[in-house]
Order: sequence, then structure tokens, then C-alpha cells
Amino acid sequence: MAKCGFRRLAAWILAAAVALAGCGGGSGDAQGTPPTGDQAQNQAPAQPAGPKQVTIGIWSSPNTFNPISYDTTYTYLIIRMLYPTLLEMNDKLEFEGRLAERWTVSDDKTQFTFYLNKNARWSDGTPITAHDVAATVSMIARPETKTTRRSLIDTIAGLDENGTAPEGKVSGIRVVDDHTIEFTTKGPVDPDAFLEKLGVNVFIVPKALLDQVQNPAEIDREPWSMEPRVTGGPFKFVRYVTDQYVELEKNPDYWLGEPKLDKIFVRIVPRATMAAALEKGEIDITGGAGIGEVPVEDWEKVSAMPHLTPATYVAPSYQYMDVNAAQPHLSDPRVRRAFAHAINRQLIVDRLLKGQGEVLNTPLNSANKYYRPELQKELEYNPEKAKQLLQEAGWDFNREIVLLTPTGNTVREQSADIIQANLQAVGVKVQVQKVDFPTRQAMAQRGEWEISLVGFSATFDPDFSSQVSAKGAYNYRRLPGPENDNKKHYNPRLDELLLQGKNTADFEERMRIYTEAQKVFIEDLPLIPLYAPKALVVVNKRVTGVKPGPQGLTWNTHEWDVTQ
Amino acid sequence: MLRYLVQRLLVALPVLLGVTLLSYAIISLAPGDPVDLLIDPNMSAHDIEQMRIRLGLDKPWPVRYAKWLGELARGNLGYSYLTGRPVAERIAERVGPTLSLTLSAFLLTYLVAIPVGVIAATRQYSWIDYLTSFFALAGNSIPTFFLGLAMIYIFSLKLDLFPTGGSATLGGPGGWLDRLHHLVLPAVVLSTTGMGRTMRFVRSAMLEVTRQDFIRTAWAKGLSRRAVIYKHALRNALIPVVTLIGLELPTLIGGAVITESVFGWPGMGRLTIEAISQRDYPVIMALNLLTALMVLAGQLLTDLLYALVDPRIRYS
Repeated sequence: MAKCGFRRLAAWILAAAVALAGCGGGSGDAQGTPPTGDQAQNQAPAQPAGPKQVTIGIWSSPNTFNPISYDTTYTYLIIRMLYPTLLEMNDKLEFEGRLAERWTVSDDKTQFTFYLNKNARWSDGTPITAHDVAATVSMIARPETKTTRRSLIDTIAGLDENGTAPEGKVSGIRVVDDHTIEFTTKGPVDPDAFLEKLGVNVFIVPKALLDQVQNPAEIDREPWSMEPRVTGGPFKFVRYVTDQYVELEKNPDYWLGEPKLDKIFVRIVPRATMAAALEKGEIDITGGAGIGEVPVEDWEKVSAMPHLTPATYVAPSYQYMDVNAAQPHLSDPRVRRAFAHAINRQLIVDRLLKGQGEVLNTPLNSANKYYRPELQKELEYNPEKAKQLLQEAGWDFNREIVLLTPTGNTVREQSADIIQANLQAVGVKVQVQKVDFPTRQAMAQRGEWEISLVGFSATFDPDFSSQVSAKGAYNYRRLPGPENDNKKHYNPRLDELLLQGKNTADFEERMRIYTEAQKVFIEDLPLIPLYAPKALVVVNKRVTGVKPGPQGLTWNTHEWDVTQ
Repeated sequence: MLRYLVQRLLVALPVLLGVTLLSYAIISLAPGDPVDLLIDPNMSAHDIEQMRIRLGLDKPWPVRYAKWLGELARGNLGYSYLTGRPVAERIAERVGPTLSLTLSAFLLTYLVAIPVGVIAATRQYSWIDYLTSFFALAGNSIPTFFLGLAMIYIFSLKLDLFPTGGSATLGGPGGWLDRLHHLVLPAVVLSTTGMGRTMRFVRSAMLEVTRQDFIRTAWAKGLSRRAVIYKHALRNALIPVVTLIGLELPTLIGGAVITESVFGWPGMGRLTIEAISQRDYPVIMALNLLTALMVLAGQLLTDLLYALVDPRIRYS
């Protein structure tokens, strides 16, 4: 009996220790979508004496609550409850009205009109109007503003290629009246992409606050960055206790109905003790993909706990092995395809992710509507084929290549060992080099690398040009040295297709283009997609109305409730 | 004495300057660009360049160092790259929690280690000596994270006596009782390593002192056991322990990375790790400066304490 207890203790500590090792992590900005409102049901609280509250567990601190300059999903999770957006995206990936009660798209897909809810109020009682929306977009558009949001608005007419306009005077914005605002785009755009970017991901900030900003380059130093007092979401900010928790209380005047919960806490919990905190009931829900999950080592145990409901989903992100195709020995697509055939990607998913993930062949995973199941059959695990391809391409089997692995993601670090063994099995000598993420970035930018593991957090938009195209911010395929800065390796055909896709508004047409682009991608394989992990999320059964998914967790908090 | 103090303080200035120059050079030469870690995947190259210029990262590091030094002279530690908030603010909000954890662990260490070390020495090779040796060895060799997780499993999960982590109850009124409740596990874990080490240290120092002539004289004078052990022997045995305390001073403010990480304690250690992994230069520099100050202060204090416990030492 005692022995059994000790074994359990040992197993628990081992699992937690593995989780502890994987600290840090990406700051990819999960793209969220918007919620819609149900009518609020003001039921009499049939119960508890204490306040109704729910606690969400996340791994790291939100370093700011500024909706214009923020750059992490930790902040996004929280400000989504505080600041209004025009729209939200629900768990079926459909748009729901928020600040906008309805919206129209012109036939030529260049004009988007939003009709705002007339009952919408800031927490200081003033109405939320079209002027607030216009002021927010203008602030983002001002060239000097410190913001990460410009790519969300850059299709609006009057903005230059950087998404900026002098003094934020954007010709494509027209305030029709206090409750109607109209946006004109430079040309036809895919309405889904436009509504997701502008509607769901631009948080509206009170014009009164924006008018007081003296220096937009330091907008992150405004007092409301750390203490958002005037907000307009379903919840209001109470306080942030550094590195401990954020406390929110309901906004009783929320225009889509008074939230049923009294309070929501977002608590910062170390990875190593996330499972313990869930088991003890200290937290009710994990924050979601990349910001708060059950460590994979604990998943089997935690997901089986009677008081918890597992709610996994595939987020629009993936892990891949980048290949520096500008290096002569890696420039032949057959070499890269050989690598793909050599790596047992299913084994990585089965062993390291305990089956909680999927193998994928293109940057678009099954959360994306342009995902093509029929393209996933290629690039199967086949060492014989890999050897054959390498021989055809004239691979030098005496050459040793370096697999650059950034630390901070335990599964990714472990996958490096499987990949190394797999490649060695087909005769490719591999040395694994582990470095911290900033070092990896620096080496990639200098072109001093051969193959490297890395992850990417995408949006629901199918454009993956940032990772592969000539101008892509994440295309590091070049030879070392400043003289090679402009000699990036890229595929002109793929570039052309991706550009075409970006400028096409029609869904059917886009589907055709992106399907073709994915085929070209698989042929050329500028990078080797490995797997898309599922977000390991659990929800305590006492909480109702929570619908986590690729669109995030906190999109419908006004509908959440507790039963005990 | 005063002259000595002034001398020491004057020497400290160039040392501090050297420390900041060296650490600025090292972090600037380390691979990795802070801007890489601040950007959103969808930002344009133009915006990224703008950010680099705004942070002054387009200038070579000696220029940035000179600017940093100038700001420092005006009492400005700069702004965090990561949050845009003043560095001093980010550090200040962690001083309280850090000190409450490290000081309580520190007190716990010495309050337990000194008496136990003395008992072990005066009863050398008794069962109690073996027992304390065993605990000292165990405390020294069990990794902190393992001990921390084991304590959480036993005392939090199974016995339900303490929370799994954090420094205060969510939304609670706080209060020192609530703090204490959260403090027990991390403080005990943090004190364990030092406790084992100090225990052994006090034991051997005591053994050495009790064999000296003046102790034999004390016995011969017919002094009581208590007077010999605690007045004559202990006071002398504590001299090396004072050195140890002085060396530990910087860690009081530096925090305890592993214990803080396991228990989710909002301390300086986690800030340090975050700053390094995000290449938040202004925060790293401020933390380096603070640590260097504490090291210098610790050494000065040790030397002064020497004079206090050892009448043979006089500074002039």
C-alpha cells in the first residue's frame, strides 16, 4: 500500500517536473473571433450565498491590458472580456453581433457597414458610438503609434502599404451617424477575412481616452494600459495582482444582458502545478491553446477526473521543420521531400502528444476552412522512398547537418530526438543543437542554419505567405552574410498564387487558388509541416456555457454560469 | 572606522561602473534581438524597423550604454521593452513578495541550523548527530523542484493543508494570516538547502573551537556547561557563519528562481528569467545593478559584523 502511494507520488512529480522544464513559450497571437449575444436570462439566483465566480488558469502574466499595443494571447484572453469589438466569432466559427447588432457587405465587396447597438455604454455611462470606432482605427493608422494591429486594417482605403495614414486620417472610414459606420476597402476583399480582422480583432477604445494620448509612440505607457477603468465589455477590471491574478467583476449594464457570473479570476499558475490546481478545484478552466493547458504528461489522468470535462480543439497553429533551401545541399525539393518521408510524424503525435494532435502536410490545419483532406495522404512515412529520393538527388551521405532546436517547448525538444533518429535511419547524419529562442531567431536571420524546428500561430485566414514568400517576415531561407540579404530562396509560382489569393474576394475562387497553392507547396516543400497539437483544455463541470475552441475561450463570458 | 567606511564606499563606485559596463556588453553581444520577441507575426517590416528605432536598438551598444548611464545618473532606470512600464515600478512591486519569501526562509534556516548544529557538535557521534547529518545531507542533495513538487503533492493535494501556489487568496482581503498560509510551503522548501549546509558548517566550526585552549581554560575555571558552550564557544564559532550570511545577502533580493516557479510566487527570480528570455535589456540591467549593489553591501556588512563578533578585529 505504502509502495503504491510512493509510486503515485513519484509518477506525479515526474510528470510535473517535465512540465516545469518547459517554461516560456511563444507569443504568437491567436486570432480570435467574436461572440454573439444571447438574450440575457435574468434568472433569480437559485443559490449560493457566496458570489458566483469562475477561475481561469494561464501560465504567464499579461504584461499589459492595452488593446492597441498588446502582443500576447495572455492579454488577448483578458481584454476580450473588457473591451468591445464590433463582432465576435462563435464556436461554430460564425460571426455574431456584439457592438454591431447587424452589418452589411456591398455586392462588390468593398463596402462594409456596421449598425451599432444603441444601448451600448462605456462603464462610465457614456454611449459607445461610431466615433469611438473611427477614433480607434485612426489611432492604429497613425504612423507613429506603437501598435501590433496594423495588419488588421491595412485593406481599408486611404492607408498606404504599411497600413498607415498621416495623422490617422483614413479616407475609407465614414461615420454615417452616431450609430452607423461605413468602411471602404482599396479593392474587393474576402468578407470573412475583413470581418474577422476588423470586426473581431480590433478592440474599440473610448475616443475620450484616445484624445488624451499625447505621444502615440508611447501609448503603452498610458495609465489605462495597466488599469483599464473605462471599458465596455461584459466584465469590468477590478485589479491585477502582479504575477498572481487578474480580478474582473460583471458589468451589470452590459447591453447583451447582465452576465450571470459575479466575478471571473484569471490566475497565473505554473505549468508544473496546473494539474494539481485543477484537481483541487483552485482553477475551473484552462486558458486555451498556448497560454494555459493541461501538460500532456498529465492529460490522461486529468481528463479522466470526474469533476472535469475535456474540451480539446485544434487551434490554427502548427509546428514545422524549416529548411534553409538557399543552402546548395538543401535546394533540391527531392531532398526536402525525402526528409518528410523519413520522419515518422505520426509517431511524434502518438508518443509525444499522446495522440492529441494531427499530422499535416501544409501550413493549413484542420481548423482552417481551406484545409484539404485529400492532400494529407501524401508525404507518408516511408524510409525506403526517402533513401531513394536522396540517392536521386545525389545527397552526400558523409555530410552532417545541424538541427537547430529552440528550447521552451518540451514536446518540440523531444521531437528533435525522434527526427534525428529517423533521419539517421535513412543515412542523413544529424546533430541536434538546442538554443534559446532569441538565439535561434538571430541565427535564422543571419542565414546561419540548415534545418530548424519552429512553431507558428496563424489566423483563420489561409494566407501563409509570411512563412514562405519572398517578402515573408518568417522566410529566413538565405545564405549567411549581409550580401545575401536579398537572395532569399522562394518559389515564384507559390508567391504568385498567395498574392492572388490575398487579392481575391470570392470564396469559391479563393478555395481554388489556395488548393492549388497547397499543391505547389507540397511539391516544393519549402518547409516541412510536422504536427498541429490539440489544445488540452478542461472545464470544471460546475461551470456552464463555456465553449472553448479555435476562436478562443472568453468570447461568450456573459453566458457563463455556475451550478454549485 | 568612519574613514574605513568612506574608503570602502569610494572603492565600490568604480566596481559598480565596471559591473554595469561588463554586463551591458555581455547582454548586448548575446545573440537575439528584443524586437524579434515583441512583434506580432503579421507586423510589416516597416513597423518592425520603426519599433527598433523607437527602442534605440539601431544604435551600437556603446552608444546605448552611454545613454543608459546618463539616464541612470538622473535616477531613471528606463522603461521595460516588454511592457513599456518604468523598470523601477516593475522591480518595486516584486520587492515585497520577494523579501517576505527569502527573509522568512533565511530566518528559518538560521533559527533551526544554529541550535541544531551546536547540539550535533556537543554530542558528536551520538544518534542525534547522525540524524542531523542525515537531514543535512538530504536537504542538500534533494533538488529544490523535486522537494517543492513533493510537498505540494503531500501537503496540498493529499492532506489539503495548504494551497498549491500563489501568494494570496483570489480576491480575498489578504491579511498576514492569508499570506502566511501561502508562505509556509515555499519558505520551508527554500530554507532546506541552506539549512543543511549551515547545520554542517556550524557543527564543524563548533568542533574546531571546542578543542582550543581557551575553551579548556574555561572548563578549568569551572564555568557552567551553558556558559562554556554558548558564551565562549558559540560566539567564536559564529565568525565564519557571519561570512556565510553576508554572502547570502544578494540572494535575499535576487529571489529564488526555482522555488518561485514551482509555487507561482511573484518574486524577483521569475522577473529575471522573463527578462532574460525576452531580452528585456533595461530590466536585465536594473536587476544586475541591484544584485551588484547587494553583493557590495553584503561584503561591507560582513566585514563590519566581524569587528562586532571578534574583538581582535579593528578597522582604522
